[in-house]
Amino acid sequence: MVRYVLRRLLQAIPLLLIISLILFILISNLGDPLASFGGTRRRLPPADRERLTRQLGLDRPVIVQYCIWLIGNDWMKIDADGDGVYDEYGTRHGVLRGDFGNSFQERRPALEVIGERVWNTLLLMTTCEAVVLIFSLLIGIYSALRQYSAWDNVITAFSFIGYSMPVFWLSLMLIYIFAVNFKRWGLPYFPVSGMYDLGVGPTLGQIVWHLVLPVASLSIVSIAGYSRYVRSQMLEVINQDYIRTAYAKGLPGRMVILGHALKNAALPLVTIIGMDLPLLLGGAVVTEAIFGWPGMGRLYFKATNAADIPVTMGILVIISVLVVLFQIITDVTYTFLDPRIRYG
Amino acid sequence: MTTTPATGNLLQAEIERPPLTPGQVALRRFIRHRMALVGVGILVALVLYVTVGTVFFSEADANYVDLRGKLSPPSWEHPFGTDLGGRDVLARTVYGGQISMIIGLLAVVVSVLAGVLIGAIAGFYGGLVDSLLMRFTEATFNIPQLFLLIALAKFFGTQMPAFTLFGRSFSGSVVIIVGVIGLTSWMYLARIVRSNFLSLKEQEFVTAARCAGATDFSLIFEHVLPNTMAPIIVSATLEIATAILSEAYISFLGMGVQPPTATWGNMLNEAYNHLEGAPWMWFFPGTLILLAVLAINFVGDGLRDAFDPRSLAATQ
Amino acid sequence: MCLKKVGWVTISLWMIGSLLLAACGAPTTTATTAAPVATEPATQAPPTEEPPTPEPTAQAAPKSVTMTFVGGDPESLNPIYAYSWTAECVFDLNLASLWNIDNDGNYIMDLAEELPALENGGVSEDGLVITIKLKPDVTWSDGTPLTAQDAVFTYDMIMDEGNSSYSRYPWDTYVESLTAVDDHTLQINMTAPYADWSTSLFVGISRIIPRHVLQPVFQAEGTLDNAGWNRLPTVGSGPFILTAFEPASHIALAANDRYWRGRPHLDQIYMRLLEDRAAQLAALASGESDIGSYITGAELPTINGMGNVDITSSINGYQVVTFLNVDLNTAHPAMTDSRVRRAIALAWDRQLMIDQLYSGLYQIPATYWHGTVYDNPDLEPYPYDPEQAKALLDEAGWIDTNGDGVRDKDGVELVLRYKYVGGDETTDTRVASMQQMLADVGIKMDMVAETSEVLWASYDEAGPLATGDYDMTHYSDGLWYFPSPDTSYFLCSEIPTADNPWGYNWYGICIPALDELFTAQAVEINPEKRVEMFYQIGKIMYDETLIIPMYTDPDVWAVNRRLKDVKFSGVDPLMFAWEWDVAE
Repeated sequence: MVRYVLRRLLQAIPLLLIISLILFILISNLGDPLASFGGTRRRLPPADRERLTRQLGLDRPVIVQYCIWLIGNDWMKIDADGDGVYDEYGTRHGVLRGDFGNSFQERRPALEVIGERVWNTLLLMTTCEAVVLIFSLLIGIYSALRQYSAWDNVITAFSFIGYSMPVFWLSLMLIYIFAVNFKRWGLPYFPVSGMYDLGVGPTLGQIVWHLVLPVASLSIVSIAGYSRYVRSQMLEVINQDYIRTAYAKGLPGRMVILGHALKNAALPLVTIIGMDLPLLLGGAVVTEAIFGWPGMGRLYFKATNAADIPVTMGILVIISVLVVLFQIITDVTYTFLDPRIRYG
Repeated sequence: MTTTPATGNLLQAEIERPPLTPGQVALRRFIRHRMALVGVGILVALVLYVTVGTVFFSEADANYVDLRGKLSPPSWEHPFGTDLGGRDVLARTVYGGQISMIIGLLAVVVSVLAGVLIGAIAGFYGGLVDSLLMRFTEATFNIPQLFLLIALAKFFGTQMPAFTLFGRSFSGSVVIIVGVIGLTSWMYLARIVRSNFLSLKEQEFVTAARCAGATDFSLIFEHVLPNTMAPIIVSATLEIATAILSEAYISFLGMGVQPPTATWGNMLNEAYNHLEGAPWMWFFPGTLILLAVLAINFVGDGLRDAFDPRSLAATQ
Repeated sequence: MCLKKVGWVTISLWMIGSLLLAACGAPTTTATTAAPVATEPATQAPPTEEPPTPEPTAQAAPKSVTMTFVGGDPESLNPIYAYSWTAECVFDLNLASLWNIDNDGNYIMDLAEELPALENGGVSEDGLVITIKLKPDVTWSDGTPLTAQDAVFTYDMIMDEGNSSYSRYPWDTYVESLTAVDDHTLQINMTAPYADWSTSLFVGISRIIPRHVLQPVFQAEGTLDNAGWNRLPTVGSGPFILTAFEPASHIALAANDRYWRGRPHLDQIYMRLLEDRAAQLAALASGESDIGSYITGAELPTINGMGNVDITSSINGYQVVTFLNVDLNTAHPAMTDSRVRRAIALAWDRQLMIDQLYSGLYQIPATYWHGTVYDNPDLEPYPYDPEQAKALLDEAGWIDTNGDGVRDKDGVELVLRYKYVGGDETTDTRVASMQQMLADVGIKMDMVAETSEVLWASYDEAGPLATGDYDMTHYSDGLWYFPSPDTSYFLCSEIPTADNPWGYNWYGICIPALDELFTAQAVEINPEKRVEMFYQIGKIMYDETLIIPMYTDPDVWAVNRRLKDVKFSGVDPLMFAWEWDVAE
């Protein structure tokens, strides 16, 4: 098992390198990072443009820029003051040593910029994953056990509608009903945006209250899809012989379901939810935009638009690492769930 | 139980009738699937909506700006109301629907081409080729689609020229969006095709064909591929729905087809500022997207059950 | 092993962990005011007593005001790196300048004793030496005296190669040297009689930074690029001092007891940093925000509907202008004919757009210098006259010969590419209506929406505007050092070429008479002569229809009625913050 994990980790390294190279080349061609300096109110004077291009390292060829990004330039001489003489050592250590460079827009370490936001996105996503897991299982199992009952049909209908909706349409509807109109009708309402009310501060209660609508809109679509999947898996499992044997043996219904059927039905679900991470991160971009959630998705969007290479690359690298790790974790969890699976 | 002459004749007829092809079997099972038929019905209705609708409105009507008539609620003159520019929402959903659905279709074509090609080659040749292609697939798959989408959409820029289809000219950005959506959704299909190829290429009919002198190309496309059509068809159908949703996402982020050309997605984007003030602006395009995706999901479900002999629904 | 138990426990731990992390783990940059002293050891003038902590008085609840800003975080809170409007607003609160300019153009002294002029010897006869006397008793918020050496240090830091400062203009062009004659007298030696020294040197976004805090950092690291003060300037000289900067969330400031005008009325100001406008409107509606910034005309009805929020606007020298590409090498043949340009201007009903889309909030300018004394009073904005537009187009030879609804001449169709920054619904609608109005007079306008990074890319990056690959565009632009009228946008020498790829003149405007006037006015210290020059400039640009001003783009603020004495300025937006108060 340990050898398997190690092997997977080792395989992941060249993978990540290839990904980072492709992305770096893509992003370097996104646009001119200096174009938006000054915003619309004060454009960058030409002498300063030249100087900043040199100071930010943008005047080198893309491959050189990638190498500097990866391994830094503190071991080589650079031309810091533009006089054509390569007389000083650089100051960057490179990603392999943990230095993601300074954000072009905010002039401070990219990791700092990302670090401030990544928790918020992780919070949103893990809450969402948890909610999806719990409710998909509950609804799927109930639906399977009560197949063709009135409830089952209602749930099926709603499921279809649920995963046919664009997430942001759902978000807009939720805001419209629960935030805007509930407030108008004097009912207890939910906030429109942000992670907490400024006057009150980031207390647990505030964050939970502000989490409700974003998590709801992100998870409803997934629950709709997965509950059907769980339902079909459960249906397959329930009709197996060993379940019938368990009932025949006299085991109480609940134990049969939870102890036997559920474990086997949950197996594929674990895989899928584990691989769902990238999708959730993507969906989070739009949700964060609508709900004003200060997370990584928004930062990514802003950074890509502004061609802020260090931040964009930082986020993508972090995501890729997370995804690869999660895949390994999922595969390992597999072995706990199904003792027949063994990795060499 | 004895057989009467009538029953005997029936049996005789049954025995003599030529066997059904797998396609025909699937079709029959499909027809018995109620939801799928409803889905087909809705899709037909939508296609009629966006084609016949052009008889009533010209494209100029859909883009006609009349600031004084802005944001007016549904009325006889404008059954779906007007937007901020005074443009008729009904006309815009007709022309917008054309683009949204065409993007959905074309993007899936790109995605299927890429996925099948890569999956087939990886599965058929195996070994190093397989490893490389699969690592590449994993690499692209590991990046969340929306992130890749944003980067690609900006990378291809706006240098694409306009093209004409069915007498209507589409801007270059449509090409880019089709490409971007297509290039970010082929991985799943590639995996399925590859695993099918891996198992199918060991089968005897492949060995036989090879002995008969078939080329690799012929083996892949004429022998093995037709036997994996089922998951490809199902996957492709469901992907149309995802593609339409993706277009809506991209438009919502402001990177889709640019105004004044309407698509269902960018109409939703415009409506964001008018949530309460002008709910007709998001209600109609949103419902249309919902109906289209719903219908496609029904059809896809039906197809999946029709092709899969083990599925429970097919035996109902 | 029961999956269920393990599963539930894991999931719950995961969730709880994340919640706790978000609530407490997210690195907040709150700090007590003593922190900078610990990380950046002050060697000169250490504070003699504890700096005031932002605690409310025992009796009353703290008077606090929440402002909202849209457009994201300020890129830096150090004036030598900052360029955004949000940063400038923060500086109005936490850093003093030499003087401020109010909406009527009055100079109100801040750090300086009086405005240097010929009469009081502050400005030398040849205009090359400017002597500024600073008020003697001003201190930084930690008690250190604010002296001329701080100003000299700021200048040195801007010019030092080790700092990737945002811009060295106008220091590198017009200033030869800066010296501290004594602790409270600053002498600036100019290379030429720069007419706008009073609106750009240590004024506006240019501020004086604390030497006693930053010089040790510079000496230790060789650069100020990574100084902690850049993100959390807890030592300042303005009416308020920073106590927190929570990225993507807010900036918190507390009253500065040591402010030279005395402690301001308010105890706290929060600047909430939002990403989109809808969130700001929601905050104003719910009362979460007391002051909303940069309100657009389209939002006016919503705000008026709130019932307790008032609107006030300040002219800031900016306007939305439709720029035309008239470069002989790259422009559409029609655009080189001034009659066609005039026809375009006449075809657009700007008042209708303002009334319908912007609630009538803006005015239509006649020249680029609308709102200043340099605006030629004889010129009226172009009227809406589509018939005259058609007549002019006919006269210029552009007639629809092939009946497709679009005029043409010599086989060339009159199709113009309008490239602009998209993404805003109101802007897209406005441009669509402009397209419609041009279609009504026979001109086909193709709308091409881009992001600003693509549209404004430089000449080397094949940026569409920089390389003349467009026919019309628009953006909000104006006078950088308003109320100074100086601009270099329309000089021949500013047209981007391979040798000079950084030029501003993306429009290809090159008229010798105009060039002469612009060069002359930059060094003209006689105000009347300068005004006369701009009248002529305005007339030339108007007659030739070189640009088409669409509407003014003032600072529009939404102020909740629970506040009183809230005034703004178009030049230094929050210069009156020390007067603001809460109505009881």
